[in-house]
Amino acid sequence: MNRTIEIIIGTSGEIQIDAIGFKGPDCEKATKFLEEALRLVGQKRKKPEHHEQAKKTHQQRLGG
Amino acid sequence: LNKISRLLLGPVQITVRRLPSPPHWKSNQPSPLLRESSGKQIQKRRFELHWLQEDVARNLGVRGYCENKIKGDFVIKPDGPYDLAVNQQPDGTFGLTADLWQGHVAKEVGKDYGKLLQFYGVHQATMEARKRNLSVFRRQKQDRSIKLILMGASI
Repeated sequence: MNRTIEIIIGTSGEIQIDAIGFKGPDCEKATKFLEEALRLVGQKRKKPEHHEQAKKTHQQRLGG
Repeated sequence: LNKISRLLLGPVQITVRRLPSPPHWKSNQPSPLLRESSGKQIQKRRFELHWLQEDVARNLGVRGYCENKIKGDFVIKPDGPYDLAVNQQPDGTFGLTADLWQGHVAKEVGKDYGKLLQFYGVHQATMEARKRNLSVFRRQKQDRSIKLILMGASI
């Protein structure tokens, strides 16, 4: 899946950033430069994909 | 004669030695590094000047109600009788101050500076993306919010 970053800027200036196609901590790394540039201080909502990497590692440990 | 006949009959190939720099340059003169095209630079500067006219703020002040002047590190001059002052806050962020009388400023920059903040967000995000050689696709949604899609190898 192609990796893209979607930014939605509302009419009152509120900004929503969505990293698509990223898994695990890559998501936060990919959007960090925008968060810093736009000085975003807000709520971060982690998508299920964020936990995917961690879940995989856990499963490997159980299997091994 | 042999040389002339060769010139007339055969294809002529002229080799011109290419100089690494223009002839008027001195041997030790460094060549400029053009990282950004001048068009891009002008575009960027124009954006910065338009929205943050520091010298204007210092010399003319920021227009408020009844010719009152507001203090501003920078000024934004929308169409209308009043300006917006942009002042740097102790934490490094910028605060907006304007005389909101009769909604002159709101007409230009939106309620609670919304249109201005949206404009700033779109341009700041676009500039940051371009710095990283990302492609930016821009689309206005039905609710008038703006969607930017960033794509590229460096993501």
